[in-house]
Amino acid sequence: MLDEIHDSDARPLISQVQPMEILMQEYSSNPNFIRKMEWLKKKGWHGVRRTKGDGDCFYRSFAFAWVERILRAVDRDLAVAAAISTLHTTWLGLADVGFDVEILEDFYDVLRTLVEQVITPEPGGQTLNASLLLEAFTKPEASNAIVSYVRMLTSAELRKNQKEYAAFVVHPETQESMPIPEFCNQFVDGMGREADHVQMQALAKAMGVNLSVAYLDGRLGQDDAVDFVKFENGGGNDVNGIEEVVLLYRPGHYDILEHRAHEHRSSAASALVTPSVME
Amino acid sequence: MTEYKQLTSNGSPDGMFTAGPVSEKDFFTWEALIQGPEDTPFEGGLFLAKLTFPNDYPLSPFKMKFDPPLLHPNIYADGNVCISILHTGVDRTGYEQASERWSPVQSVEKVLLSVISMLAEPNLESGANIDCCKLYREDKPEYERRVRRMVKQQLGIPVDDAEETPEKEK
Repeated sequence: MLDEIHDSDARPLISQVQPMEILMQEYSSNPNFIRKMEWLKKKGWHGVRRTKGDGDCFYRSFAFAWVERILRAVDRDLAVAAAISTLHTTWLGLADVGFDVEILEDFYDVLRTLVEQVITPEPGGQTLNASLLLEAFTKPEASNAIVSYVRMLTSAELRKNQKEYAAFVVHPETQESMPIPEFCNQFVDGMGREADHVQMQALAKAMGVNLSVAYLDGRLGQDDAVDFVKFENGGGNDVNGIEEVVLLYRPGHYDILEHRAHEHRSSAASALVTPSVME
Repeated sequence: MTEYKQLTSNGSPDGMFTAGPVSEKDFFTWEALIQGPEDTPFEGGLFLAKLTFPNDYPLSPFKMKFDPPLLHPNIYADGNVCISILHTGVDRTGYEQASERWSPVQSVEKVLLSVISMLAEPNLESGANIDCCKLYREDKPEYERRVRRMVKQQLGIPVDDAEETPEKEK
C-alpha cells in the first residue's frame, strides 16, 4: 500500500478521475479503510483524481482543483475575473515579502494564462476544457511551474502574516516552534516538501477559497463517517462563484476527491459554452 | 537569463565575484570568478568555478565546481561544491537543519555569497573532503598553510619551500 503511494516514477503527475472502487481494491486488506470509503461513496464522493506521491501532491491537487472549479463555475466570467484579481493581488504581494519576482514571473504567467484560457481562447487555439486542463497538469514543465508558484504564494502568506501563523509553525519532525522565514525556506519554498495544516491554511487563505480535506484513516468513528477538515474563507460553499476545493488525505498523501454532482455540472458547463464557440 | 541581466547590470556587491554565461550560445553554463575573502587563508586568491544549470532551473538548483579544485572541507576533491543552499529536498540525516536551502527565489548572487562565507567558515558537519575536515579539526594552522600555498600556486607565484615547513606530498 505504501509502496504503491510512493511508487513515484510510474504514476503520472495527475490522473484521470478513477472510481473509488480502484482505491478500495488497494485497501482490500484493511476493512476500516474500506468501510470509510463506502461511506464516502454513499455521500456521493464517487472517485478520486490521483496525484503523484512526490512531496508536491497537496500543492498540485489544490492548484488543479482550483482551476477546475473555475472551469466548472456556473458563472465563468465572474469566477475568472475573481481568480485573475486574486492572482494579480497575490503576485504583487510576492515583492512585499522580498521575493525576486523577476524569477517567478514565468511561473505566474503559466497559471494566469491557464485561468484566462477558461474564457479566452489561446491564440490560434481553443478555450480550456477538462482534457486540456489535465494535459497542462501532466506536463512537468507547466505543472511544476504552477506547483512552485503556489508554494511561493503559500510562503508569502505565511511570511506576511507572521503573527497570525507563528503559533502553528513547528518543525514537522521535532514539533518545536521555528521562525517563519526559516520554516518557509526549508519546508515550503522548495519542491518536494510535503504540506501540513499550516501550509494548507495559508494557501487557501491566499487564494481566497474554501478548502475541505477528507481524512481517510483506519480509525472508525460514528457510522464509519470520514472527517472533513475545513479551511474556510467565507462565502459559504463558494467564494466569488468558485466552489470549495475538496481533497482526500490518506496518511502521507493528498488526492482530489470527486463528487457525483461534478459530473452533471461539467456536462452542463460544456453545454453552456457551445454558443460562445459558435459566435 | 533575467538573472544574467541583473548580475551584469548591478555587478556584485564589493566586487567579490563576477559571473556570467561562458558563451552567448549556451546560457546553461556559466563561469564565476570569486575573490578569496579577506582575513582568511584564501585572501588574495582568485578562483574560477563552473556553474551548470539544469533544464528545470530555477526549480532545481545549479551545480558549482571549482576548476582547478580548492582545498576546503566542503569542496570535493574534484572541485564540486557541497553547500546546503544548492541542495533541494528534505535531508533525513539531520545535517544542515538550520541552514539555507535551495528554492526558486534563491539566486546565483545569493549562492555565490554563501559560498564566499563558506570559504571563510567551513561547515564540518557536512563535509565533502573528509581528509580536509580532519586536517581542519586537528591541525588548523597546517590547513591554513596548505590553503595559502594552494592560493599562491594557483596564481603562479613560486612557493618558497624554505620558508615553509616541509609538506608531505599528496
